[in-house]
Amino acid sequence: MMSRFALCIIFLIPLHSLAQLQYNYFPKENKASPAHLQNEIRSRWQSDMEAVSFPGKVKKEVEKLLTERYESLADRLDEEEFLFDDVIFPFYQSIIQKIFQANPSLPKEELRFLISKSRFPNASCLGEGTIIINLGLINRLEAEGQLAFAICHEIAHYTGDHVNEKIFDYAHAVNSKAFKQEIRNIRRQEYFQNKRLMDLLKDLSYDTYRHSRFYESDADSLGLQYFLKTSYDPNEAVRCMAILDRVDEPKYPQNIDFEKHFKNLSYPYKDWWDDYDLENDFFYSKDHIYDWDNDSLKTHPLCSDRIAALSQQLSQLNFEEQESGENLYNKFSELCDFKLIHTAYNGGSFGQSLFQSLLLLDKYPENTYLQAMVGNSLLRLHDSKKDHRLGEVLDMTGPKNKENYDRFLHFVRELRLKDLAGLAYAFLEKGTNKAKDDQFYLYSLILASYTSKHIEEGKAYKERYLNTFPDGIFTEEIIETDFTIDNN
Amino acid sequence: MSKLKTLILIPVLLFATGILAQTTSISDIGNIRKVSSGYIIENEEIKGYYVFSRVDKVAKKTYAYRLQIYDANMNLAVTKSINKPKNAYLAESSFNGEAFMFLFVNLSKKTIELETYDKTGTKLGSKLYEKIKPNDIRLYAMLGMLSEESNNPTIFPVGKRGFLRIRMQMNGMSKYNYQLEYFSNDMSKSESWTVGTPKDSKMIEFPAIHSVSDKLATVIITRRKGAMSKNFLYAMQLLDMENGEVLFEEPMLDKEYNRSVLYGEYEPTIDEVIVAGNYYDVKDKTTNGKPLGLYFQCYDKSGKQVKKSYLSWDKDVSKFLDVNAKGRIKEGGFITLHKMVRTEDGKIYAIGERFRKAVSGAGVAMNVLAAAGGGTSGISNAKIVLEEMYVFEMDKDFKLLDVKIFDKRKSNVLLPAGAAYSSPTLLAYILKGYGWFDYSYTQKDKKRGIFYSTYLSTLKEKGEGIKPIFGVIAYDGEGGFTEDKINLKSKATEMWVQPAKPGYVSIWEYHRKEKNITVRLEPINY
Repeated sequence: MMSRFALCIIFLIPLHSLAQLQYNYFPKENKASPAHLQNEIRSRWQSDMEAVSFPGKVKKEVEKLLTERYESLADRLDEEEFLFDDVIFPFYQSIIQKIFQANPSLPKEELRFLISKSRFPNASCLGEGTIIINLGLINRLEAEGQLAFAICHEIAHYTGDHVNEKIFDYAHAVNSKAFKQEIRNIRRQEYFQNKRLMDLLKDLSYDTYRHSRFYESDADSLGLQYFLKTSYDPNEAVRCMAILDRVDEPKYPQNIDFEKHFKNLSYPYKDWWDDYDLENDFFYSKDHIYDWDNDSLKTHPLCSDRIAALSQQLSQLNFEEQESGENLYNKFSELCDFKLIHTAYNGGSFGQSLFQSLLLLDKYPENTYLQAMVGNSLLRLHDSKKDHRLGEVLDMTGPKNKENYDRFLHFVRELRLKDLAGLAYAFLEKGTNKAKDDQFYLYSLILASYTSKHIEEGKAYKERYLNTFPDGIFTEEIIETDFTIDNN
Repeated sequence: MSKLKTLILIPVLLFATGILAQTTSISDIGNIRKVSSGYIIENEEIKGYYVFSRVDKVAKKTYAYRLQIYDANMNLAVTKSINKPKNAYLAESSFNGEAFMFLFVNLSKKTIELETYDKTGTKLGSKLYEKIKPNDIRLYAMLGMLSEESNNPTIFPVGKRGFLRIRMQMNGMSKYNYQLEYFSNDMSKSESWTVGTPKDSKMIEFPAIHSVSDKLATVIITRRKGAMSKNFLYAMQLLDMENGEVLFEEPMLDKEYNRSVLYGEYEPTIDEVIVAGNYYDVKDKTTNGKPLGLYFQCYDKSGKQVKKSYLSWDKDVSKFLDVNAKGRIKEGGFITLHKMVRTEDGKIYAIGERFRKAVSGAGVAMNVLAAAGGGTSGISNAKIVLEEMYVFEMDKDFKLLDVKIFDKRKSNVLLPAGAAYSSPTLLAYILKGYGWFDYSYTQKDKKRGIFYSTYLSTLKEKGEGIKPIFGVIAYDGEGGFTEDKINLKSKATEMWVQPAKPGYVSIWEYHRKEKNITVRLEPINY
């Protein structure tokens, strides 16, 4: 309880600003990853390489995979994939501290904890000490204890050395005499060579995945032991698993009401933009030749089985029910909603930033940041389409998408260049004066004016910005840029 | 072992990999020469694609082929394993909204096989044609010269109930004839019918199907007395798709003019058949005469002519272009028409391309070298230079309103020996038949009331050298035109372009090392 009170104190100021999400959000620049991280991971890779003691080709295979792992992580650090902000990251670190305080025997010096800006609700242990929780996972969980359990689960993968065992197993498997003999046998076959090769590959993969599922169960069990030593409500472990069970469903599943946002603006709305037809001429078969058995490919056991196993473990213990601290955590989760939009936009996923902004406007209809982001995302989609790069920033429609996302993609792909620019301007132009007093909003409106060829309006908004924000974030850019150049 | 290494993608869950949102990857492509791919059309819209590739040898002369069907967004819909003899090639496919028809050719076994499948990939019916002669196959290539866009389709959907297929056959050394075969979706004999060249016909006949609906089809029949005859006589037929009955046939040679046909479609919105093409002096042959201009005629379903219009080069078109009475452009060369499009407001647009003859330095050099060796190169001393694209705008009564010119970079086409002496009309047929024009295809975006015509060309930009581009001329639905150019520069082993759903083009790239084909859909800006 003491630590929970301290948590409130530490985060008092940011929590106060969290309450303002109804009206606005002020993204801050992400800090660069600490300089020591690259050295740390490099140093760990080198020592892992020196420790490889397998014979011949197995050693080579292991070294190759370890090097790929290291290089991938180094690239991700370079590309600034990880979040180092003033709110979420310290919160995350505070949970980790609690886990280490409760489990002093854990190899604290060997571990490093990162938050990936990825929107996918996932977490990973790389096996060389790096544990990554995705922003998307933090966003979907509902209590601090649930996040703590997820972290404990990943720590258990490390202490159980699961990832490295998988690497070693694989290297041994593909270099084993039996495997090589099987390859030779297949090459000698005159018929069905490809099918036999695929069957061999499947067997190898299914075996790997079977081991993965065992390791996951092991990590659940060991992770629970670490978790139970903390002061969090033990039931949060089961609640965490229950959330993961439904994590494939979107957090905001409602369809976007495009007419609500874009009809009755100064730009004419076309009804067929929204004529999404669920029926398709094609029948999408679930069976394809050489298809893989989905159950065999699962890296994790069924959540229901995991919940049952955890519940079984918990039932053998006596503990008191505790407050879950949900209300406090929800604020961070809501903040994550905005961070994910900001991250998507900065990462060039303008389709995602537009989609999430429109969804969140249902919850925060007066939020100036979201409104500005809608306009800005439409403009970026316009620029990408103009440069024939739309596919890099916007997914294609397809049966694998959730319905509300597929409807959204269909809508955006129906828009022509001038529709994207025209809607951006009309949407922003209808904003309140209060909104237009916001820097980001006003800057977006300037861009939209010029892109949609509302030149005189653009000049007026430019003047307004420079008068209102003489030292604003975008002042230099607005002064130095001739917005008419690309928009002739 | 190397094949296995490329196959093994063991999912050791170490690091994230990124896949471009818009790219579809088709893996396990061992030999690109054993792959055929194409698009599936329904109601003039691209509905999907097929890829047919050889994957395994399953018996002495039998291979397992993988047929993959993708929807218009390149989402995999169906995968089927089909056993076929060696050297089977999927030449064509069609989709009518309910069923697919596939045409397999096997040159070594001399067979053509038609198969139909429903949307789930369940086989419905088949028909095997045996003892096909190589010349029969070559005849199909000639269809491209006479069809609208030289993409040689021989199978056409008939509503959602069946397919109409053109079958060509050699009859002796120099005579050939055609049949139009209708098949229901399950290819049942009771519902099939066949019409074609009359048995007692002394003419060689070629059909070009210009439009097919559930009820009617327009077919342009080209007749000549012998294989070497350059006197092509055209006739337009309207067929009843219930039974193949010819509702009417209109010859294109009358007392007034001789006419070739470039366009012949039944327009349901006005319940009339429109025919258009070049017209010539009544004494001139269409293949070596100089066209006097463009003609347009409309007929009702009984064959009664309800409207006609002649646009002469020297009186009508010359108001917009510097062109003489024989259609020769001042800058040199002639304009051939590729496509006609009718828009919602009743206007008609004809898309054309200018071409001219020039001396081919490469051809001359090759012939000199070959002559020195006592032979010939097979290449002409003349070449064709392809120039700008043209769009002719007409009102609903075919009065010429405007001619727009769209520049593109020149490109050269080497001609086969002897072709240089051909008339402009015949040269246009040759270029079209081989697909040598820059023009690619025209597509309608019915929802937006837009159409766009496309071409393949190159672009030279400062500091960037010459790069291949996909050019687009788009009618914006409001009376104006816009242009777009998509960069096709690629590091792939091979690259080709296919039409896509309205507003897109699909770019296919084969990567030999990775043994895959990646497909991306590029939006067209208009």
